[in-house]
Amino acid sequence: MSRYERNFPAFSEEEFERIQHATVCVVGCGGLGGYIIEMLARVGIGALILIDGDVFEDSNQNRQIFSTEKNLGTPKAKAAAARVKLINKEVTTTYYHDFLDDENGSALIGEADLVVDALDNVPARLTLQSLCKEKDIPLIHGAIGGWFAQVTTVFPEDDTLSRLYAGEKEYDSKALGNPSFTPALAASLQVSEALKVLTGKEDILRNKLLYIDLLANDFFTFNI
Amino acid sequence: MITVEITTIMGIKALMGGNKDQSLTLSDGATVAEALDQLCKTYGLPLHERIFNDAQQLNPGIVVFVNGCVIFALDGLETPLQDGDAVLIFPPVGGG
Repeated sequence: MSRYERNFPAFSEEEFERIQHATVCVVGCGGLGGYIIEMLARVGIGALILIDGDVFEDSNQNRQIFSTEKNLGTPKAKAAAARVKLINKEVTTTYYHDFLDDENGSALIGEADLVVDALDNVPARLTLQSLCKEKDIPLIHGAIGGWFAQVTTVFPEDDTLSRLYAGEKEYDSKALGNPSFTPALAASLQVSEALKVLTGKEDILRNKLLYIDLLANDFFTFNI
Repeated sequence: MITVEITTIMGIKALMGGNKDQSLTLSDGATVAEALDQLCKTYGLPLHERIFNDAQQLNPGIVVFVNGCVIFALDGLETPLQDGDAVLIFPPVGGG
């Protein structure tokens, strides 16, 4: 189909077929999640499961791509699903206006092949890592704060986020600010990483953290 | 004496004279705590307050890696350092 012709030769026919048959669960449909969902829908992912218990509010509009002046109060997951339908009707989309937790998590994630962490707090990320471990699903982690962002890929055998956030009880996600450009960058890196995992490419960020300091224009990868 | 390579990023870098990387010379058998203490002596109270709480434990929001391994998986602040070790002082972000 011509709508996908510019996906090639970045992907081979075989790789793109895998993408078209893949189901990705995006947990969080706000700053990171909006861009992630947009990119996955445009690239031609097979199915999306979208989870977020929040509704759009005024303070989301500086960065959350699915928020508008007209949809304040609308569930983020619902708005995301509507956007996907506008972009690409071929993507099978399921959304849940609910916060993921230990009890509902397994059912909400369902039969996803891969999960993307677009959450905004540390306890929920650790819960998500546990659920992905139980369900034997790879997890693509991304987080931002101010001018800084981080991305890593967590396989079910790993405990990367537990190590990364060792000692963290509560994280103040507003402490460094949430400007428009940082989530967009982290989201791009997460989508790239997700598609690499789905297509079996080798150089992924497993047991490595890509850390980005936009103030210093520094992209820094270290082993964790 | 041993020499270890200290790397830090983000807000911690600003508290260490803007240096992302620096070498630190320590006595044989020095620990992570001693390396951090030495840095705090060099750069003063703002760095100390960012890294340590009143109980001299790492503040929430500070993670230290030695050769890519988080110190909580080693001996914590008492992890001994070897000549040439790479120490990363890292404040993870968690927003979305």
